[in-house]
Amino acid sequence: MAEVRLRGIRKSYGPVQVFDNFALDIRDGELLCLLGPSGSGKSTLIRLIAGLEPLEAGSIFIGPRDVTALEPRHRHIGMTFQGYALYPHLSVRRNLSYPLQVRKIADAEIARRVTSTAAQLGIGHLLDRRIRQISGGEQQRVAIGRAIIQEPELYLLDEPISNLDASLRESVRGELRRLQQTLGATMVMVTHDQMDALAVADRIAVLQQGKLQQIGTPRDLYRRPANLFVARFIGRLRMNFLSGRVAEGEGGAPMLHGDGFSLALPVEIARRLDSARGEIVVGFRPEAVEILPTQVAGAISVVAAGELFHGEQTIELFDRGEEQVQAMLAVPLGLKRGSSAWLRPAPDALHFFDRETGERLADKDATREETR
Amino acid sequence: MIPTFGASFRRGLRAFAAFLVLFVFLCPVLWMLITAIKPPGEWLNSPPIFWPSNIDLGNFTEALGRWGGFKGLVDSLAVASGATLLSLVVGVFAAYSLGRFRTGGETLSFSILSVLFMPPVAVAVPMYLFWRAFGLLDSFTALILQYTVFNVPFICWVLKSFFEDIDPTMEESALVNGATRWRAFVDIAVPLARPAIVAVALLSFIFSWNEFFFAVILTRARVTTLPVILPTLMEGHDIRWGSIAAIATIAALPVIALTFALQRYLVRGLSFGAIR
Repeated sequence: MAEVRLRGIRKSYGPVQVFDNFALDIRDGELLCLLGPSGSGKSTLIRLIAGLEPLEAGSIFIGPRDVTALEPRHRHIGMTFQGYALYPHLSVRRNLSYPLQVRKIADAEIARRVTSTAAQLGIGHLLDRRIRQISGGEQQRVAIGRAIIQEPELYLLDEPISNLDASLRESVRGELRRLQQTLGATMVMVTHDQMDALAVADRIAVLQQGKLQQIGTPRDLYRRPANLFVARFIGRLRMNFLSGRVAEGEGGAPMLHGDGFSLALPVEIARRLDSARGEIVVGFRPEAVEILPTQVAGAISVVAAGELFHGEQTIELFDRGEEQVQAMLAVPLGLKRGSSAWLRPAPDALHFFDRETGERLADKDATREETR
Repeated sequence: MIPTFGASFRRGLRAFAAFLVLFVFLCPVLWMLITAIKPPGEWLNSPPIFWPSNIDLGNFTEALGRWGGFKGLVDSLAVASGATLLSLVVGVFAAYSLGRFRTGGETLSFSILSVLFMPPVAVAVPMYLFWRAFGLLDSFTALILQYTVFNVPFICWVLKSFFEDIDPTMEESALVNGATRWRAFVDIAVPLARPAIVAVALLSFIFSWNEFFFAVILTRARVTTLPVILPTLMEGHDIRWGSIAAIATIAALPVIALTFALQRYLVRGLSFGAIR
């Protein structure tokens, strides 16, 4: 079993520096998702762990071993690639057995492991087919089989779900999660799809331009995004953002004033703001909003702009001048286009960010242990 | 579906056109074969004789024996096989290096290709002096190395793009799965490039087999390839057309046989790239 420690990683491609003094800890037996948009460095990161890319500085530990100087074949990892990287000139059986054959394992043992791995993944009937003759979903299983047949300490999965049809993805998420738990192995999975990450990960590390934005459980990231980037990136529907300025309301209570709204500001945040000053961005998720026909305290004035019907829920679209805001509801309201309405976000579902730095403004149950 | 008159007419027209083209191209080959089995009096008869009165294999025995055709065949095989093997060894490694590791950037691979742009005449005399300085005139070594110099750039250019088209993650997955760079090359890259390797090997063989210009300049009596023998049959006033046709037939056979044997690789290999 293996935890992975990355320390002081530096890596550039030509003039572009991807990582500088980057550190990350992956815990033994966890499924960690590296999540980020394209170009964030997430694939580079697992290629560095695999030893496929040279490191300019820093060190990598897998368990107690310093693997920084080791060739990929000595790192003892199972890896799958985005396009699966199966060998088209070999049968499924030979694809599965390749890692064992290269390592000169006895034929009887190879046969036994191929049979049991194929059975575990339900691809026993495909063993004598060529790669071209099996479907994308089957290829993905073979790729995973080729990784687990080596019984490695660490799995690296580069976009394992992204190439699959939408109809397959949901079931594959479940299978991946189950497989990782059966194997009890440490798994690092790269994905650009935050829904995949939220669904399967023990912890998610959000990357942008080679910087770790936040690392934590899917719940942490969803409920307490560390900055505007994470807040925008996580969640099926984009979080709504409004900007405003701090002012004193009646009785000296701190308020956030913006165009068409004024919200009560939690005292803890107001206290920190003395130093921060400037504009604040408040975010709230479409799924934590009430829609009211009349103005009340803490509501935001909007104009109805349309409705997207999604079956079990409906997304209401609103305009606020130039900005757009949306809300997710269980029942469609049938608001007339252009009619006025008021949105009231649940007070405990408000996220406050410093507009300049994008950093989350700490609130009362702030625990910085997970976020770094 | 019943084909309309128009469709079947078009198909018939196309078949006829194909037949016409094939006839034009294959006629000389047919004439060569027929001449090779004609007795001496019927070679240049007027009107032409389309089928010999009796099949005479004497042309072959004369060509192989008296005119040195047998030695020519052996020497040609030795030179062409030697040059092809050596070119492949150098070319496959060089192409992999250029394609996978961008060795020397674009400049190096283009410089290698530029060897092909040079007209052979321009280098004939320098090459003659070069081989003479090494005492290698009229030797297998000189001819094999000379042909390798021409084959390698071509092989490099074709295989480089082929290797570039192979998804590098396939070799990377081999590396992670326990293979060395060498094993990944042998187990993954080479088998995937096999159609292209077979195609360039065949083309190298054909080039070395047919080459006349340098063979004439660099050899005398110790090494005589088939193309060099042919003109010796045309000296004097008794031109042995039957023997010429026989030697030409002998020269054509190995290439035709190889092409048919390797047919299934050629189509994919000659499309230069695009596997998957």
